[in-house]
Amino acid sequence: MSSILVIGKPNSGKSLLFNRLTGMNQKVANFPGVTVEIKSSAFRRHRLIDLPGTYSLQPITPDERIAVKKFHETVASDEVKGVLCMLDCTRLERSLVFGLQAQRVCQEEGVPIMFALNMMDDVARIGETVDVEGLKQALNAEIRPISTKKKQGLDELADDLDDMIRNPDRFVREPGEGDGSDYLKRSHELHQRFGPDVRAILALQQKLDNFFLSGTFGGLVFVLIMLLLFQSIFTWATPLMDGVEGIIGWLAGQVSSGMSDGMVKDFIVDAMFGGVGSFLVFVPQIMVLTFIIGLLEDSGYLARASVLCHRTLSNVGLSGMSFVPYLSGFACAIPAMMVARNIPSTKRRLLTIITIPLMSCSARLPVYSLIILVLVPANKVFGGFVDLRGVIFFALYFLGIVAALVVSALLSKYVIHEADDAPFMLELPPYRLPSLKPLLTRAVNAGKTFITKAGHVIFAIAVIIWVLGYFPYGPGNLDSSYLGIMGKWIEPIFAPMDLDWRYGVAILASFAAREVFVGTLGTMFGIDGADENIAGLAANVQADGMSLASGAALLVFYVIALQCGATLAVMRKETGSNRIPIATFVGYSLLAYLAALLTYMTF
Amino acid sequence: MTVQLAGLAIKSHEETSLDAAKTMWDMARGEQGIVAALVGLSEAYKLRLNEIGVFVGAPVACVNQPPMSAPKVFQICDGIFSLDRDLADKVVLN
Ligand SMILES: Nc1nc2c(ncn2[C@@H]2O[C@H](COP(=O)(O)OP(=O)(O)O)[C@@H](O)[C@H]2O)c(=O)[nH]1
Repeated sequence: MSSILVIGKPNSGKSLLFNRLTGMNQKVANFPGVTVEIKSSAFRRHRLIDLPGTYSLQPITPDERIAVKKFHETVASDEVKGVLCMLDCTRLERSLVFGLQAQRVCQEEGVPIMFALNMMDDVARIGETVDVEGLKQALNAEIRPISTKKKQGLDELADDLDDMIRNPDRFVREPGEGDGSDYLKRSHELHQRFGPDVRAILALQQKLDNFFLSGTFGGLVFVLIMLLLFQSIFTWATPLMDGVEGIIGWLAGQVSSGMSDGMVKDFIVDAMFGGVGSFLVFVPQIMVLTFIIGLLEDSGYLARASVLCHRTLSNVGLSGMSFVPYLSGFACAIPAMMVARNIPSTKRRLLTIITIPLMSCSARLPVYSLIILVLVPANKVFGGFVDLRGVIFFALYFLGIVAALVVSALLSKYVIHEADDAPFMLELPPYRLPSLKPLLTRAVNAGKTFITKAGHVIFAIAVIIWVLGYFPYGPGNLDSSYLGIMGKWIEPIFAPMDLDWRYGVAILASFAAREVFVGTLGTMFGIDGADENIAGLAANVQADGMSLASGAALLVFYVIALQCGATLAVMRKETGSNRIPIATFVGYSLLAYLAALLTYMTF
Repeated sequence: MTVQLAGLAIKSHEETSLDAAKTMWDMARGEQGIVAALVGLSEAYKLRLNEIGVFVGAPVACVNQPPMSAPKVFQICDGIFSLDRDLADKVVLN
């Protein structure tokens, strides 16, 4: 199978094109490897490889370094049979700065290259166009004008790519005028001669920026958008969660009514439906969160948010560039640490990586949700507009953010003294109306990945917990089971917060993965005879009488504790150090315990 | 040379103060200028600034001054970039 490399400057539409051409069946989220951002997938009889975007072949950030290194390596190898370089016609000059450099390298290596001129719909909308023929001649290369969003020109582009593989010689050409060193001047000239007049696009962007970056509203809008994010995780996901809970409860009823009483039935009901099922209830929230983060990412607002946050984050040793990794950290810390590669400053990047695990990732969602459902009534506040549970939810995320800022400030002042040499520079892309379908697919994929990634750990632990909790005396005897005996050894650890051994076991088990907390509790309550409400774990915990102080302590513990082996492994890889992940793990564990204790005492 | 700037009333740089060594950071919202020199930058950053369109003779304009002492926003050729003080202060204008 011959490979085609897709390259281009950031935001030129590479990812969307990749998904359109490959039917979105690319290997997404292949963590915990570092190759997460280099996607590859089948396209016709070929394989498309999507590299992260870069402005230049002279990299200044770690992610650009990876992309440039990979570009040189693959182009020099036999693996790649052709290169497709994306040009954003609304930012033609910037696109060509990279495109001309890439074209030169391909020509030197004898690798075929062609260009896709994307976003043609945007220039058409303002009554402009690009002189494609003129540009073709000047670049001495094949150029296909397309609109990935409107799916225009994609079949033709696919045929061009086939042609490039079949007739490579046609695509290996001298790259037009000049000797290659004048790519800056040339890109400027080419833009002047053949490019569109994009003032109307810039004017619209300017209008929106005047609002989103305005002195009066900028900060307020930022806070409102963040608040909306956390509100919607609760309000939008609730019907879906209720639906899943209903289905699981119904299934459990159907399955168990068709089975005779005994160990197998107990196992199915307690471990499968009680353990794994109670975790599935929270998957819709993960999907909603992914959807909203995607919405923000796609709209272009995140770049503005990074600008707005820069000063505040700089004061604690971070950067505006830390904002997007932080936000991704709400979904999962692992890709977030990789997103931090676009922070040029070593010190700021390190501080970002160390503090990302304090962002409440989606694995904490089931735990937060469960305890909030137990402790907080479903009241509306602020005149009926805001859900109280959503507010508490926001408070937990906010607590994580505050903890991250404090930790970063302390580390920056007392521990990490490296000089900070890299200034802040960020392109603000045009605002765009996000396309719904890719966002929905992404949300569904996030749910699927979450289930498959966490599912087997949760299942395995549910089985272990069930076996230990079921024997030797069978159902209803959890207290005197093997698990009960072991649980009582560790009871003293969490006793100061008035959490009995069952919670202790669930907390310790969740060091394998946080979501395990819910499944483990579900299994234990199942064994203990709460099976008439299998998926309704919250109701069971509520009936069990968890106090407000204990619940709050538990929440604070989960906000801070770093219970994720994969996060530590990636932190080790990203920082190239063993000491950093170990110290981070120990530090956050101690901090989590102390903060939880303090919370308990305060309530 | 003029900046292709839309949606803003532009004061040409000449109309504003002619203080010695005025930098990009000194520009107010809506002001434009021509790059005279890049000083005190590492080669890598100098090149990157060149690549985004900040080179001697290039027109630049300040299009936004966000709140919370945020980095300023500049229109540089067909792109909109936000640069912090560290960087913008090293771009001297004519
Ligand atoms: N109007 C328009 N928007 C597009 C087109 N292609 C991509 N986009 C949008 O441009 C933004 C950046 O696209 P993305 O694929 O993430 O770019 P990448 O950074 O190169 O991977 C997204 O908001 C896309 O929806 C297009 O042809 N027309």
